[in-house]
Amino acid sequence: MSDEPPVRSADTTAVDADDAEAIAEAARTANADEAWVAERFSRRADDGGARDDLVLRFRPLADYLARRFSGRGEPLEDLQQVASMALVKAVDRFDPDRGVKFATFASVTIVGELKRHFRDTGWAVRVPRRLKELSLQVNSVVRDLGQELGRSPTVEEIARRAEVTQDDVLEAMDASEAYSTSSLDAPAPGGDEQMPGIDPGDEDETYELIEEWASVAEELRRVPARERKILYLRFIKDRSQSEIAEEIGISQMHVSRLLSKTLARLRESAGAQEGSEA
Amino acid sequence: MSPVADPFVSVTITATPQHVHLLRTVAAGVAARLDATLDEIEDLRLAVDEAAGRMLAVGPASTLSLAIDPREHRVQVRVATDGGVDGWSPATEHGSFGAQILSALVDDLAFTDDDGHPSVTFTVPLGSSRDA
Repeated sequence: MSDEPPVRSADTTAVDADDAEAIAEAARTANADEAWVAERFSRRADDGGARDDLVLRFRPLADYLARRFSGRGEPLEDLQQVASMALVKAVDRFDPDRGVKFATFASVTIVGELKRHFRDTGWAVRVPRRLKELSLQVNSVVRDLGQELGRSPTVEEIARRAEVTQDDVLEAMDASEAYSTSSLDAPAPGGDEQMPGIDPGDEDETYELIEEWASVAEELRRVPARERKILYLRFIKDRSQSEIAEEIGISQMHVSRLLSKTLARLRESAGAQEGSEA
Repeated sequence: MSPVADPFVSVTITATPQHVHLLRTVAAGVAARLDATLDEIEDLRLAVDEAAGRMLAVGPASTLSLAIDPREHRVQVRVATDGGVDGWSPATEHGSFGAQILSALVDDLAFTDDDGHPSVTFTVPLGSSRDA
């Protein structure tokens, strides 16, 4: 990295020295054909295909970094989603004229977003290690059992498979909720993020939600696309949380967290309105 | 693990939003022992949360209570405060955003001010795991 100028991520998230090694290694691993990359960036503005090429080409880089951050209490699938969102952001914001390699810029951006994810969830500081590990374990058992049974598992089934007590399972569920509320007041900057697999511009879905919940129409428009999608699937399409988790590609724990967080936000907005009308 | 053997559960806490999580946890614990699936438990938790939020919004109160009565394939839930009902009525409550959320999550939703205190009752179906 010594031959490159200092680099900032797509936003201003600070990346400290500890991450420098991961970033350097990831950027090396990406080993991209610079001419190929430059050619795609030259067409990025008016050719969606070029943009998709870049995202696809660097997806392994995002996965690699997500794995570097796994084992710290967050499910790998959630980290992978954070990383691929960051990659899309990096592709959109990269400035080829700055003399920085895209792989480096993307790595810095992805590491920044992953760190912010941990900071926003508050996992790292508040929840004891035992509970984090328990939550991770429960989470993966929930996914496996869900696929085997073709329905959402019971707490007893989860406990038996994970070889823990039912109280442990309930405690793990509580812990995952405890760290959700800490991020209540910290909505992700940037708001409506482009999400892989999610079309943020699905006006029909937003419209249906607003028709259903006219009293919070304004706030609904400000809710990030992924959260709005979850509301739509849960309340308009009547899908269960586990079905939504599968469709969006995040853990059920994460769906549960996002749902309570978003409902609290809407409730607050509705409360303010109903209060002013009274 | 027979649901019939589980007793009626009732919890009363200080009426403040900071303690609502205790009610969620109790509800989840009761449902877990009735063989509820995670999806059912999550819905019940959201519903208790929403119901408690609505009841606290009615007006000042000193206690907030939750009662859960296990029935066959469902639980009956009641959330209430010991506060007054001035300026509040079950009819207007039914048009609120909270009531819309609740009615999507639960069955038999009803708000009352019968005893001079606000309360909401509903039932949540549980035990789809046993049908499969």
